[in-house]
Amino acid sequence: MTDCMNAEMRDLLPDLAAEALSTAETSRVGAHVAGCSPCADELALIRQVRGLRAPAVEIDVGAIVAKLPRPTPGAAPRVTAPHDDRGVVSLDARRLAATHAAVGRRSLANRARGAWRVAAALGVIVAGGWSIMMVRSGGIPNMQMQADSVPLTDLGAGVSVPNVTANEDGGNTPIADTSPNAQATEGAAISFGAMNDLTDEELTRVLDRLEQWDGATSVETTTTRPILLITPGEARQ
Amino acid sequence: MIEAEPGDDTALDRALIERWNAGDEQAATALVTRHAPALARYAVRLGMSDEAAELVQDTFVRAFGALGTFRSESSLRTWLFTIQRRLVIDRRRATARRGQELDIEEVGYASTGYDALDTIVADETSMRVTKALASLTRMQREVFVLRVQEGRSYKEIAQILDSSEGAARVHYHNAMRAVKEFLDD
Repeated sequence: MTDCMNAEMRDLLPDLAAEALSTAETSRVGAHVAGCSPCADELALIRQVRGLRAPAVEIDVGAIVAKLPRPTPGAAPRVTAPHDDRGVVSLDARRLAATHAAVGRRSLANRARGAWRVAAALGVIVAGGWSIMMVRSGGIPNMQMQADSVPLTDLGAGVSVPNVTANEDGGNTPIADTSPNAQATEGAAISFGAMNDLTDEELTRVLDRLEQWDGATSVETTTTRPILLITPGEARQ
Repeated sequence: MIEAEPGDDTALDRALIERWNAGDEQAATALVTRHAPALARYAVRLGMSDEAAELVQDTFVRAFGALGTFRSESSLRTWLFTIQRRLVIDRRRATARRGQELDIEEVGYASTGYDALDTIVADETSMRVTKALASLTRMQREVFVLRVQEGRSYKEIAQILDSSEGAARVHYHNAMRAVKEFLDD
């Protein structure tokens, strides 16, 4: 049995035997085979091989289907999407379901975070509004806050610095206590009260103390001593 | 070169897979019915006559468990052939590990594949052709079976065998020449 020199035709013979060629191709290859003895012999051999029957194998389709792993219930349908020039990328339903679940978890977290933000904003608005209302209505009666006094002994001037706690307005402004006890011991306590109730003297004391806390007093309370005094005579020496 | 694969088969398989993913049990029955005979035939050609039914079942179970990795650029049957061939190789390796001193590359073909002549051949001519196929090397026979008996294209054969189209074409023509020489003797 010789071989045809037309490699293309020989390659198409199995397709012709399998009837997998288009009508035009079938005609073209058929015409070649009709005039080519080697290809006719080879086509006959191919058909003979195709006609060989394998031993019958009993296949239980129902049993096979019963053992197949089921797709994930409720999973998103499988998607086949173009990916790039190299081909097609398939997205598994389980991968899609996992993605959806992750998105769902992120959405829940975002919603919870948003709820906390709304609650915090409402709290600030209510507290601020209530504070403004109280201030405009004449102050906050009987609300006092004890403050720790830390004497700055190093300064040698008996200046005390209170640890200030945020007041109702959200600010940190301390107001001097006007009680006699507080007047006897400088900076022992701070009270919140209406500024209108203070006398001029008390207001002056409050302002002085505020300046001291800021580190810039209106009145120099300590004597400044020069570290090295050089007289004109010593300089000449 | 014209692809041997029928065009509408791929579309039908894809539609059945979609239906199966949507919960349609009948789609799985249709898929198994469509491809089980070819898989059984291929298993026999690979020399696994005694285990053909079990191999077909294992192939479908493995394939349905990995449908997400199936690429639509190839036909479902080609993909199933690939899975089944790997299962056959695994079984041969397992058999070799059990100390039966079997050649992994050759076992099953010369001894069981086309030597089961009493069940394959119908007449003397068919017996001679069957013996000719049995004389081929493992790779030549695989390529020849896939090309002639299963109608797979060289591209599909290369995919199933994890080889190249050129190598598949060379193996096919060498196999054809060997068969002719065997029959001429």
